Amino acid sequence: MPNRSKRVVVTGMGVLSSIGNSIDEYALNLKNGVSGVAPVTLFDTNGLRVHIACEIKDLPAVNFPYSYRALDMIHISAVQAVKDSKICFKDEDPYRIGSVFGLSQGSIESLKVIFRKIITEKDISGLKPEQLVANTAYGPAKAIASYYDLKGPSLTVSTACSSSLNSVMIASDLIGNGLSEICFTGGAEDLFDIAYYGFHSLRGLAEKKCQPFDKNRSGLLLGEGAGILILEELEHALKRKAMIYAEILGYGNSSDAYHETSPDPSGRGAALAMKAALEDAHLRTDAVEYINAHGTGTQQNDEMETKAIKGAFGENAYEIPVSSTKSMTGHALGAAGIIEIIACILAMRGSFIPPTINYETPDPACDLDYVPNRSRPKTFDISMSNNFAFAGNNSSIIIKKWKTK
Amino acid sequence: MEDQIVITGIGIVSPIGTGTEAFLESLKTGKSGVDRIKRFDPSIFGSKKAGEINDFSIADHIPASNARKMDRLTRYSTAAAVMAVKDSGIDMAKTDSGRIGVIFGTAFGNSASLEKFISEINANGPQLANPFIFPSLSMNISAGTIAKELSLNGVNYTLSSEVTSGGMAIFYAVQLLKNKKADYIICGGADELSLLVFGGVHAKGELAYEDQTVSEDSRPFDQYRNGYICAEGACLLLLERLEDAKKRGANIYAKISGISTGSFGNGTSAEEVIRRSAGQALQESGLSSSDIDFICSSANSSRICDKLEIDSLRSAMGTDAKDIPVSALKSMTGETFGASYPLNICAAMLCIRDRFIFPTINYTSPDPLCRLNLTTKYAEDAIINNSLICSFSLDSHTRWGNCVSILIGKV
Repeated sequence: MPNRSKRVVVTGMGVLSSIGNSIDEYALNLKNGVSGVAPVTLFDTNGLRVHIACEIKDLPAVNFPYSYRALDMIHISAVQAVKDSKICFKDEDPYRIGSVFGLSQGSIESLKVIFRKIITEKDISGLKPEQLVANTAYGPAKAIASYYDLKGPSLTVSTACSSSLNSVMIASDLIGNGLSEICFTGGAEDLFDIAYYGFHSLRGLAEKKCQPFDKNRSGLLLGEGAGILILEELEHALKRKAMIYAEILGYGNSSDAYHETSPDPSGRGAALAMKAALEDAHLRTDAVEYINAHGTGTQQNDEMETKAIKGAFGENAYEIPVSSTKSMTGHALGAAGIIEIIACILAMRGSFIPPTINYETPDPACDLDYVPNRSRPKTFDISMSNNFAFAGNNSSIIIKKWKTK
Repeated sequence: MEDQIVITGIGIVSPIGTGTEAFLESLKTGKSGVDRIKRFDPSIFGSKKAGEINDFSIADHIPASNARKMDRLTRYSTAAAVMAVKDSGIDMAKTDSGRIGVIFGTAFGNSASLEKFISEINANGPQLANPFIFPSLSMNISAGTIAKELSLNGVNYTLSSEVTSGGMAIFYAVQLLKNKKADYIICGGADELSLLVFGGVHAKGELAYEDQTVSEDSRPFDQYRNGYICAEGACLLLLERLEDAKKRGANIYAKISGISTGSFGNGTSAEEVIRRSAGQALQESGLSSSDIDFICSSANSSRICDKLEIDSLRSAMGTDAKDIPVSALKSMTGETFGASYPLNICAAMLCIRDRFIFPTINYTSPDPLCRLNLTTKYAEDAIINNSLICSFSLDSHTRWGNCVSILIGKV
């Protein structure tokens, strides 16, 4: 089957999450099974049943051309990733550098300003354009393209909880098809009240802790995060002697065609995405050594995902460690995909399997190896990461550790 | 040899008509879809007009009971998708559902649902947030609903980049078809008129308004243009590989012979980036600028962007550019954001098929700075083999933007 003609590698990373504001801190806390959960400080939760979330702690103050929480987060992780990649922009053709980001929303702060003036107060005086800047999902991709003067393809994908995983897949297609040599990709999601109230209304939030795959799991914990990968065409990376973390081997995406918020309980759609990723990577089911699950901690997702992994991997499913790092980071919605890909890369580099924390009671419907509570030392080369989203969007990616010959 | 991608289905919900026939009739007669806003009271705003859709019923397209949970934008999008598939003549029962994808573009998503969700929280408190509206806040709800309605398990993405959203969706669909990640892709985009969207773009100072000289209207390239008219619509196309289309004996509207995109971070590099993108699309097609018979312009009556488009295309196409017939669809529809790019492609394809060029309406005072061979007032007969569509977003405040250029041609 004809496919991308170029190989795609990761040469830079930046991350912000509730368990670490740098790659090193994030790696350490993933290994140590640290939880990022704390009482919500960003908005009022009075009157709700739930009052906890995984917020980023001590977000550094920054001074970029425009500012709101999610955009600041994107900028901070981009600075980390660019530094990490050691790209020298003056040696690069800006038309060959793309930017593909995944965000589920625009800035809610900015949206609320418009809402208050237009709908509540019915008074548009004093509504300034700068208050509306980037109140859209596509703002950050354009902000990064502008800041680094990137003139290649610029896309924003918005598919709820699979957004930033999908952004990595689209960016890989651009490089694979020869449309870019370098691509900034990833996403950000800040914790905001509208989403919190929405998940609360769906009775989707855990009251005390997030317990993926546990029999008594009671829902997800909302989190926030940001991550950027610098993706690069292999030959280009080798030529500039870049440090290569990993190779993007393959990926797949599918649609459940089932329900607005609930996954197809049969796991058919999710299995289709995993199978497509295996086929795209030209791998057999026994090649995958770790699966970073979507593992939200809801009854429906975790049982469905277990079925889907069995559907895609058959008997091999029982041999593969599967963990949910959302048990530690919370569910960063649009940013979940990117921070979980980064978790996979860090696990492969650090030779450990991140744990599923808060795992207490086995569920007969979830009978795979979930790496309960403690990380496990293991040297391995190939990871899969899954994300499933509202409207039945399923995505799966396979990444391989880069080994210098 | 790389696969050729062709367009074999059209689905349209627009201010100048729902369905290809109604849209075509409006193109030929130069009908305006712009009028005073009925959906909400525009009195607090300086601008009062929009391109609204008021003749649409979802029950004309799918069983009404399937639409119970769909909000307005999702209904527009689903109807357009159903029309595109029907038009393509694909036998869905005989096609692998995993090989049909949806790539959808929207600038603002389901903003009316967002408005309603926030209003209810403000009125009733967060503990009474509405779980039935919340799912529609995901920007991919239209694409997911289309997949559900048509039972499609293939790739499913929603892209967002202001007025180029629908063009970016087509750009990525072409990549996926060339990589054989799907056999058929429903792609294009949609946006809806809501108080939030109208208020937002109004506050940015981008909308047309009435002044001493002119009425509030969309008048691309006119000397007295002062902004665009906010509009809504959905337009989805069915794309597939040429050999597949031939094999199943499909009716082919046009082939996509060149496609290119780029982004710019400030107003000064915009012209260079757009010129390069148009030039690359031309290069990919193997055509020369003298082969282009029609520029289906994306001009939306913006003071800056109309001129920027013509200047960029002129520098991309050299001396031939000044003679190529140009017309601007947004003079009739207003700015439909996510739907605008695919609507432009539909207009160009219908002109190719039916041998005419639609008029740019409301054009009365030529702008000496925008010199071009513009078709005005009435449709003109013309034989068109190749048409260029170039669209770009340029934020009036940040000067951030991107562009997509697509060349379509007769098969």
